Amino acid sequence: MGQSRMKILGRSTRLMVALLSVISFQLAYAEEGGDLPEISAWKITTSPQVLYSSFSGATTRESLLGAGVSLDAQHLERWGLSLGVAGSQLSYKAASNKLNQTEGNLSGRVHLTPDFLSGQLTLRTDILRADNNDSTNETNNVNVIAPQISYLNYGNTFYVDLGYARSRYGDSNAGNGSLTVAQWTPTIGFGFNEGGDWLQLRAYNISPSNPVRAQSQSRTNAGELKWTHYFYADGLTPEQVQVGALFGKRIYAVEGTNIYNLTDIQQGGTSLGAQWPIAQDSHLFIQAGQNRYDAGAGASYSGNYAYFSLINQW
Amino acid sequence: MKTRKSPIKLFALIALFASSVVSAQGVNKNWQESYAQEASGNYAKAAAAIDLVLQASPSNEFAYLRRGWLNYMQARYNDALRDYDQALRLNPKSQEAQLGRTLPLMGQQRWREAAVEANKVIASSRWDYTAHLRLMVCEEAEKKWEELARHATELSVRYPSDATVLVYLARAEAWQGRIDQAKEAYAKVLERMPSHIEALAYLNRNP
Repeated sequence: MGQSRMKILGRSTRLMVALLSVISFQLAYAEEGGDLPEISAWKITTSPQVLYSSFSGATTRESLLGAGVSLDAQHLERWGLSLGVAGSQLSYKAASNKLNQTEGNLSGRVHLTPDFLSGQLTLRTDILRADNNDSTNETNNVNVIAPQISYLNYGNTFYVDLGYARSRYGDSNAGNGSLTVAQWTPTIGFGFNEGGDWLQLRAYNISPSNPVRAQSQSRTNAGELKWTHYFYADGLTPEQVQVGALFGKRIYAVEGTNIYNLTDIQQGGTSLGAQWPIAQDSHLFIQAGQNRYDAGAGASYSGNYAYFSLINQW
Repeated sequence: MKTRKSPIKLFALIALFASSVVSAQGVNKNWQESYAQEASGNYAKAAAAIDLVLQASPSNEFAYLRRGWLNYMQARYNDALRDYDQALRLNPKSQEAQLGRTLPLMGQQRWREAAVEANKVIASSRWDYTAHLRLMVCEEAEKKWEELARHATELSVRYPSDATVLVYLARAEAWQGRIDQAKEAYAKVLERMPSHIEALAYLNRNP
């Protein structure tokens, strides 16, 4: 009964869209004024971003400063490519040396719309790379390949994806051997309140091949919950607010195009973010949060961070 | 000397005429069946009747247009696109086929692609109402509020009695936080459709 009602509603919607257009006034004359903008088949998005984090209760780490930029090119709604570069510097307490890291990522995706699915299927692969001046080489020379398949229904009320990431770290100069990390990341998401809210749950199942380099962990499991609420933007009112929480534990995680290549176990975290429209195609996203870490041997600490991103679209 | 007409030839002519009448009746029956099934909401059966038309007449442009529409109504968007594409191959100047393509594209949320199609029609028919309306649907879906507001303003000048265009203008103003402008547009909607639910709701929330 519910299913046939959904079909009727779907048909009515399609009929309504068409009926809105049935009355066609064919006024085929040229008239001056009011030229409409050309529509490009390409949508280009650039996002410069900055991250600052300070560590509280850590024995060695003091702060982290990072900056990067990403470029995304989407062709109609069929396929897209993304390229990103970033650099970061980790400062230590009572030490002049710093850990300098550069990162790069390349991503490709294809969107499919088979009729039997009533939604969009996306196939995506990310290739990530991180290099730094870690003298042990244990967090250096990181290569990641991460394929993902995802589905979003046409109603934008249901989303599911399954991601896999395989990370290869540099061989240890301290005699601790090699390391590869396998990560499974299933995600489920729901839209409700007529598109006013989005709730997403993601699980991280991470298996380092070498527990010696992973604080004796051969498997870590974590879950992440994110809730996004959308507003009518008005003055200082943001167009969206996002609250996130991470629970469980994870090490050497790959999250989107970010590689968490430090050797500490992340034991949870919270975040709060908001986005404002700057102009029609420009948005400012600001996020603040706290992550908790286990450095081993009972030493735990937290990292408070602030993240800024300016999103521009053409 | 009189020549006598062959009765076989005459019989063949009669048979040919009769078969063409029967064939025409058969094809006409398929069209009637298609419209009748559509009226009852049986889009699959309506499309199946057009399949028979196309079997007899594979280059029937109108049949492809009709089946494209019926496939769209069944959410068979890829089939609909194929039918509209075939109609365009048979008649590249068909604005109906170009506009037809926008429907399954919007159904698949391929907004930019649908907008490109609508713009093709607008390029040759500057103020085609259907094309502009579908373009506004795409602008709304892509949240291009400034563009939608400009577009709706231009279109409302050409179609001053149209409430739908004013609704899009009001939405664009509302999403940009321009409450006074949104209220003004929704008030104009109510002049044309006094019981418009969306307009009444917005004005009640923003007295």
